[in-house]
Amino acid sequence: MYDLLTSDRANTTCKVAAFSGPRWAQPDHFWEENMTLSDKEVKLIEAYERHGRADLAHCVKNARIHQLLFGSFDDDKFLYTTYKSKKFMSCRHAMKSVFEPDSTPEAITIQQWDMEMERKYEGDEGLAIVRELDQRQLETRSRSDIVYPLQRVMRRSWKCCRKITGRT
Amino acid sequence: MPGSPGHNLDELSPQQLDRFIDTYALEAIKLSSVKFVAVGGLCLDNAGAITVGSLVDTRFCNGPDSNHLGGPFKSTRDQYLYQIEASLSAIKAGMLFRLAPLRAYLAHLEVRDLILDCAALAEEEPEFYLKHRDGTADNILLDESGAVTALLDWEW
Repeated sequence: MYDLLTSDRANTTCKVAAFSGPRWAQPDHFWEENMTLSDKEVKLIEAYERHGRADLAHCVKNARIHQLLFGSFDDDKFLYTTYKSKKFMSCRHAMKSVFEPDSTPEAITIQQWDMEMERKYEGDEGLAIVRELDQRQLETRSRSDIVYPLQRVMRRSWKCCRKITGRT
Repeated sequence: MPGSPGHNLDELSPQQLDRFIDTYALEAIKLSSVKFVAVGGLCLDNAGAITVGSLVDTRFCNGPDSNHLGGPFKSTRDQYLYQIEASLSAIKAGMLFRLAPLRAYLAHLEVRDLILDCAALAEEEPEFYLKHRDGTADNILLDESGAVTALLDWEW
């Protein structure tokens, strides 16, 4: 017995993406560094081959590009790690290794990457707008840095007052 | 419909896990016979027939129609490029990646170039297939033997 429920918004995609190893089969955090097939993906490949579907086994073996891109837009993966620089560089390394498997890995820091990309995309018409947004965000963050120590002092004072008055 | 959802697959016995994977493969094989002519989200046309329409993007859910993100597309490459452009526009408008817009914008530009240069994504795709957008075990019903009895929540 088998059912597909609430399929009103299911999406369609190419064969390799559709029959790639689903989330339950993927290695943990593969988009950060571990690009090898998981044990569950290997078992899924074996199952497809056992049932005479080498074409679907091929999809599981060759789907990392789609899994990375799919994850980039739908989940908390590669493109959503840009706030966390250390994680971002390992995700970027994984992305480059899938798209350009023959290229030599670049040992660059995130600061070097920032500079290189700003230089590379200097002519992009949206870059100036985003630089301004980024600058505004930096200024907001530095104002927050002033507020947080003040809150810490106030909390400490409040604890002292409670201790003195004996009120909880 | 028998079965219960939300299994942690690591808690299944080796026999149950083998059964689960084997029955999952069989159901995927059945789904491989259902083909479509474009990339997008499923919807009904005026006559009530299933057709491929706009793709739903859960990042843009602030308005009545704003979670529909373009499409249908002729290829996954077109879909990815459209999604990249949508992200770039949203970053420029201050709607996405508000905490680090510059780095996010540059990352999207770099990924766009990787997609444009990718030979595998440039290959022609004659047919398209259904894909679950949240393929976690939470959306799969199993019976006691580990066999798949249903796949749930295809709307996301």
